[in-house]
Amino acid sequence: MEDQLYTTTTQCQTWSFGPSTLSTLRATTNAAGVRSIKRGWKRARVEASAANTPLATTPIPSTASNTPTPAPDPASIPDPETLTPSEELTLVNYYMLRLMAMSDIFSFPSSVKATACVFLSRFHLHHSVHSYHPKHLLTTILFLATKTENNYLSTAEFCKRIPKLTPEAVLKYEFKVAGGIGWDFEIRHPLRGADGGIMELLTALGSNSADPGLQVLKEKLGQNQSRRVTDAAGRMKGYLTKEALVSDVYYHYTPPQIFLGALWLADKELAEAYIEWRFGENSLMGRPLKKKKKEKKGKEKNVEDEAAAAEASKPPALAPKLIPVVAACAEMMLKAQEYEKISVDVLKRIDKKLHRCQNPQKFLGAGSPIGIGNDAPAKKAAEEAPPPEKKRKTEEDLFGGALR
Amino acid sequence: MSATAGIPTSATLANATAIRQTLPFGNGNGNNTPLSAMAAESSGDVKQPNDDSDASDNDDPDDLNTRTKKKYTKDRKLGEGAYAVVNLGHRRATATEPAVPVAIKKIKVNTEFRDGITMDAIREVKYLRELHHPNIIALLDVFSSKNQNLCLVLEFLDSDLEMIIRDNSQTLSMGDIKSWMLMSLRGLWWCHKSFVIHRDIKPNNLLLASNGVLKLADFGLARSFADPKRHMTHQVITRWYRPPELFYGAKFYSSSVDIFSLGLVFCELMLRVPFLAGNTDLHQLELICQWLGTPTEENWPGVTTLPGYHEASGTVVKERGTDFFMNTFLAAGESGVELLMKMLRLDPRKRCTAREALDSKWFSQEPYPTLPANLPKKGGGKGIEKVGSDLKRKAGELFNTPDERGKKVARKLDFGGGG
Repeated sequence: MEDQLYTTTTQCQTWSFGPSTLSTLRATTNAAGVRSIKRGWKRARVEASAANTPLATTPIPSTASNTPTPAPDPASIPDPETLTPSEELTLVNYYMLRLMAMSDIFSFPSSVKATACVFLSRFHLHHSVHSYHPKHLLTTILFLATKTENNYLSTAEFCKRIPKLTPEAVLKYEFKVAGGIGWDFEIRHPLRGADGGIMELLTALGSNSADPGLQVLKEKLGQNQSRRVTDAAGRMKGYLTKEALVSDVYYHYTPPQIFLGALWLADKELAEAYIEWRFGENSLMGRPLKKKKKEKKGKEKNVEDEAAAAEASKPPALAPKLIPVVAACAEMMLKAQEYEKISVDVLKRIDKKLHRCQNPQKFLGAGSPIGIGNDAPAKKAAEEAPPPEKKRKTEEDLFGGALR
Repeated sequence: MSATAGIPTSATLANATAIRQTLPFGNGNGNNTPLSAMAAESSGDVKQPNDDSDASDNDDPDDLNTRTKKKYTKDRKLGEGAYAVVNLGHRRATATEPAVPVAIKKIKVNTEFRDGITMDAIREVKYLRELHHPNIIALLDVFSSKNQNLCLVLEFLDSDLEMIIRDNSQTLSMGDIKSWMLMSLRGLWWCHKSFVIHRDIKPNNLLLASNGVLKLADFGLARSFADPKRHMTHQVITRWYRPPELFYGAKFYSSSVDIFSLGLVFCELMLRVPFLAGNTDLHQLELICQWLGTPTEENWPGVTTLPGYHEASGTVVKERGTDFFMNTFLAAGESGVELLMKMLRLDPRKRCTAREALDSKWFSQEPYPTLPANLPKKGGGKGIEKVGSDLKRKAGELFNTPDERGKKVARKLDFGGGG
């Protein structure tokens, strides 16, 4: 039943993909972003050549006043180098780590943090960083996540904790973000299931049940079983609030699979023993403790009495199927650690490329910035306060200002 | 279980010109397979955005928003309140589908709430995006208007249960009541099954489609089941339908609050007036004590430890038994009374679940539930306006004018408390 329920969620219906679909999706989004950069540059080039008539004063600073040093012919400046899909992903994941740090400033519960990360990831699945630089969206996303996770605090309160942040800046792109994630605010995290699984383990280990599977489990865990479980649980939580979010597992696996994958990384032996106990040959299939099923195919398994079950009617154990899935999930999660190791130089290079892409006016002397967040001076009655702050942000701090 | 009904994906709605948008919010990146993407690229497909065109920026969600908006027409205003404006609208006919009437609920920018999209709207969107059930109102689309107002496109339903109850020209048979209870419980069961508590069950949130089908609406106060130990606000549910534990300030409660509310709706369907219509919260609690019984440690272990518990003034009334209910609600019959009593137990732990209620004998006994199509309909054309005003009312409130509201409803949501 629970599994069937999961299949009705937006997470399953619109946000789960096969690996190739996901990369195709990212490539398509990247292509669209690149197109918009090309369009912007083309526009800028047209404007620049129009402005380059002798009488016009070229907006290029200092050099431009006289004929001896004419502004370079806009046509001769090549289109900027655009980001590849994997560079986009690198950038998004870097900002996801920033987002986590930001969430920690507020000590938000892990559900808020995790939801914010999923929002960011989903948003950029369909919106290229070429058009939407993640640095402009972080606070908006985090604030939206506090609301959807029922952890609301006012923008005034929110802004107090982050220097130079204004409510206007937080809310400016709220509709864009909300629409960009398809208004799907409900995110199914593995966190709650993980808590339940650990509780179940601890309860079972403390009981004197005659369940043979449990005996095997106890044997495998050796001494200090409870201690071992709680230690693993701590590490597991770490994986669930970091690696699980930075990697793509949310798109490929169900929440319980992710929970087991994280447990696997935390203590492989324990995870295997647990799965064996719950879904292996001797499993009582949730008989002693009524328990959520762990996996899609959970329905097939019926609760049978030991005697009867020993005979042919016993459904095939799920563990042999489940273990490879969990292992693959764990492996995918582990890949996320590469993103933490990416050097600042690499990130700077990507951001510099992006900066050039988004600001044809700085290189062609005409045109306007591309993408959100860069439009401060151009659009709307840009009055007193906002622009200076914005400029500071984009120019001084390559990565969007000091947040801590 | 027909859980997949309800919201059609954009893919099915996409008309010929928007055929590329196979993803619901895919800002034009709908080519899912490398093959189709490549094919489109090389053949110079007209639908592929032209690199040179400045006019249509397919990469902008504003653009997607505009496309969504363009799917609907706005016909006329059904009602306007402090919280929202509701318009009757139509989804434009496409090549494959005829025009369909819809209700467009435009959430007003609240001057008091400076924090963007309001919590009510967040909750409503969050839960309605997930809950698809024939007895739950369908959210068809969401878009923002040019003034940054949030617009929810809802299934159009032309009347509500309150109108039926108040319409004295109608006679309601027990089969009719059974049918409405059955449909409400089914919707509620699905909510609870999906770990959502509605928290504002009352007759005017039970809307009726023109074919008679009842649907739960207004999820502005809904929430998911809390994690253990996280506090929940007790300032929910319109007073007349609020269960005793909330008056005692319980910080942890469950889906049984909805069951209690629905139990009172059951009474109201039979009595044709609200069963317990208190003027103040205190008065409401007195009415509960007087009519259902006084909560005590005996009938509700632990009640005295609730943060807002106070001893009832006046005589202690024993929790009402079958005799009382049989006298008052004779028409429901024995099994109906049994169900009602289970829904209205003082101790929330003793109340039945939606599932247990659905299993009640009452539903399988004569008189059988009336077929939705044969249920009494509201008379005259007032229905549409009334539902318009139901949809725009602020969640948890009974009345629309500030006057009435001030006097009779003292609901306030405490967002800070982790409601």
